[in-house]
Amino acid sequence: VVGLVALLAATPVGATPAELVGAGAEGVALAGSGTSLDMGPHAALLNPAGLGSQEDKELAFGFRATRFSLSIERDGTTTRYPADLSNGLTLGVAAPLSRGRFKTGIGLIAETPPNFVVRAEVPFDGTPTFPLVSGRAQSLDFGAGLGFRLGGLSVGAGVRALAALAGRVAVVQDPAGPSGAVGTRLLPAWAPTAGLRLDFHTRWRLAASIRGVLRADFDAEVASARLGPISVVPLNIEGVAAYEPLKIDAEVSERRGGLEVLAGVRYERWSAFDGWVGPTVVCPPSRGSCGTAPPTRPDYRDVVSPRVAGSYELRLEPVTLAVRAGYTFAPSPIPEQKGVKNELDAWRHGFALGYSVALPKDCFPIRLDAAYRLDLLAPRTHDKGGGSRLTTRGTMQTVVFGAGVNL
Amino acid sequence: MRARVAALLGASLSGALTLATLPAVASPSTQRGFGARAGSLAAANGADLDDASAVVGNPSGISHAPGTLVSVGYENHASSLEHDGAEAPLETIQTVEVGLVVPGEILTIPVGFGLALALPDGRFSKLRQVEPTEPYFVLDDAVPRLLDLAVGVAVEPLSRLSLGGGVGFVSSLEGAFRIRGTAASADGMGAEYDSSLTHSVDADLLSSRYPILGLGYVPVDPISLGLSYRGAVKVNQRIEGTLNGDLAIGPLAVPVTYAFTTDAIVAYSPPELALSATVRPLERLALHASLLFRRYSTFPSPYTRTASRLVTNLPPGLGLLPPDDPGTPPPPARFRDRFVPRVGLEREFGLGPASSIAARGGYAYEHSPVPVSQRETLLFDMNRHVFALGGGLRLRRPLQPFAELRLDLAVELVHGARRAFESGVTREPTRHRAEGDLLALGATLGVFFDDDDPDQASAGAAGAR
Repeated sequence: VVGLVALLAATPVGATPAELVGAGAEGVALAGSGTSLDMGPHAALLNPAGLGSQEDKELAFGFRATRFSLSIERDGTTTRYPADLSNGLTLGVAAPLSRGRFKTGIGLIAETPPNFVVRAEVPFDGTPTFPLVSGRAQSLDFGAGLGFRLGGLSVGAGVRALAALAGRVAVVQDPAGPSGAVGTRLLPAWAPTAGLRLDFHTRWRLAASIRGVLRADFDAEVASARLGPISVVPLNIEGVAAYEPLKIDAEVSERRGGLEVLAGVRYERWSAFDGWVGPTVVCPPSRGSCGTAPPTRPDYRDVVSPRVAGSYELRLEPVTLAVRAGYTFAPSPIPEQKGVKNELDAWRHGFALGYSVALPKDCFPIRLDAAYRLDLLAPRTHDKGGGSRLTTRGTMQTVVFGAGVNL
Repeated sequence: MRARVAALLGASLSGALTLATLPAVASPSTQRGFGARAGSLAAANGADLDDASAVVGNPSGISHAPGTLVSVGYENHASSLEHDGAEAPLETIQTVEVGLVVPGEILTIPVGFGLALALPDGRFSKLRQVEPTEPYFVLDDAVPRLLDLAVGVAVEPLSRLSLGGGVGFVSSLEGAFRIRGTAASADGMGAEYDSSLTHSVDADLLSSRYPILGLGYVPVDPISLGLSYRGAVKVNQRIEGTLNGDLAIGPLAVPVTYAFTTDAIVAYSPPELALSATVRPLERLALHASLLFRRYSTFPSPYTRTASRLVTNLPPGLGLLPPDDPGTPPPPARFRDRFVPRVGLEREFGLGPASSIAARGGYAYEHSPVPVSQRETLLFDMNRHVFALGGGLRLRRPLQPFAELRLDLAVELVHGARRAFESGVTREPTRHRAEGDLLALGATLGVFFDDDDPDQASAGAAGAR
């Protein structure tokens, strides 16, 4: 008899493409900015306080595609890193719930890859990966929020929700052949979001938001594994499929006529992250040590990412045209990879452009948006010891098309 | 039966009490409609929907909502099913439902967007694969433990015609984990912990979608007709595991590759077509009826296909390790299609100019699609009589900014008539019987928000004065 029993537990998944490149066509064109703006349904992801200013019912659709061109040079030999095209379809809705002096609004947004909810790729230790670049673009983004506005002060709260998997796999082989049983539980993973915004002097807006940790774990235990009469150690397949750290965003914007300028900063608390993979064998407390060493902490660093953006609105009757641009600098939280590990990342410079065309409400109440963002990954060299070096380079290009219809 | 119902009621109430601290209440079921109003009418009201239940019942109703709607609900499903006199180990399911409907207009044409979400037991799903020899209530074990998430849009191009469409989502799993290194065999002294192993995972949580379409038509004023279609809901699970390395047996190290694959459809709800009608012979009286066709014959099998492969350089015949096995196809379900008739009655009583209560009742008959003669399976099911009762409270403009507040309650008793069948899964054909009851309690609170700006409205009124 061969018996192999696995226990899969907890594979939450993270809302990540919006964190990587921006939320929606407007957010991408502003290089991830928008915390202080009226972003329609996308405010549920960025800053739910913005939903308090929602004037019209809005239904939003969109499409995003991100192409990675990453390369790894090792001791003079350059290889292309095989990163899949990441794309997602967006559907969102925002609606005012109450108007008048005390305003409230609700928003809901989902961007999902066409074929899957999340992709968990955790390779063997030492395999080169870009976990914070291509890995973060392969999952669902989902957010829902409520915003309240009284005078110039808006506050909001929301949640980002995803899926978590827990289960049990059993395969038993007897002389009649193999049989199997799988039991799974798909659990929701939640992360809270909160924000506030202050509109003052008619032109200025000051906003801040905080987004909780969204963590995608998996934990598989191969318990009582047996190969014929031979028993092997219980195996623990544990790790993290996706991770978004605690984030705090602060942004200020000023509008003068058709011109709006924004400046913001984001803090990401990566130092709390304890690694992508867990120990394959859990050493019992009664033993001092085991043959399988526990993984080392990755020692990621907290980062602060600044950004600036602007937009200009032109009224070309009967349409309203807006052009947008932005820049962000994203430092890497991952330290130089000197040992066996090859979790690769680099400083990123993100340049973005976009436009929006809105038809008048009495004609057909639609707004069409498009955005392009280019991220340049600065070359980065990792000293692997013994004179061996590993250098990474790359670019990331994102195209977004969106449409918003007022109901 | 009375004792069983009492036990069910106890289980339902105790479940409800344990969940009393949860923030919300109710469930859109792929089986019996979304929300307490549908539950109290045995889901016969497919031609008369104007809230979040339209998203899964008939999306054409989304555009009929009187304002932006946010609803929360709670349902408690308790079961007392027996196979051959033994109680089936089915847990009570507690479902939280959330709905959002945003109606509006584009160029004076009414349109609407809706979302319906039901979360059973706080989970998106709880599913398992089963052995063909295991007694299995195939319609009750997997589907009611599955998340319902659907979004839909509707448009009313003509005053008497509305059209709707939407998509429902479920998640399937396709994944692999691999282990490599040296696995030490156990010797009773803990030698297995000397193993030096690492692992990798490559898994996708796949999104499986199904279409939902609906049409609503009012040929003459007291009569509404509805036609809706929902595609098959199918949840697959495919898992691969591989151990690739050395197996250390004392001083001997044997290179070994062992791989297994399991593949199954762990939840399935067939494509269905429903024709519904609502007649209002009196202003406050509504009669609902619907005929549902469920194409269960498309269900391939609830069972798992498992394969394993072992590669080693040990000489064959030693008997230490078993041989490869490619697996065999799982036995087919051989379900039959079925029609489900449903009827409902709804009577409204006015309490004043801005409030009313409603009394509701419903009945449905669900003939079992599971064959009475099974060769390779042991699938239990019964012919079911669904009795539903409920009530509702409506308050119009109770306070700003609420346009309307609705509170609906439902009690649904599903009586499974004793059903005998024959199975040859244990080689010799044997007689089996299934029977039991299910009880569902539900409540839904829906709040419609006013689309008008009160300041502008009062300013307009002042101007008019």
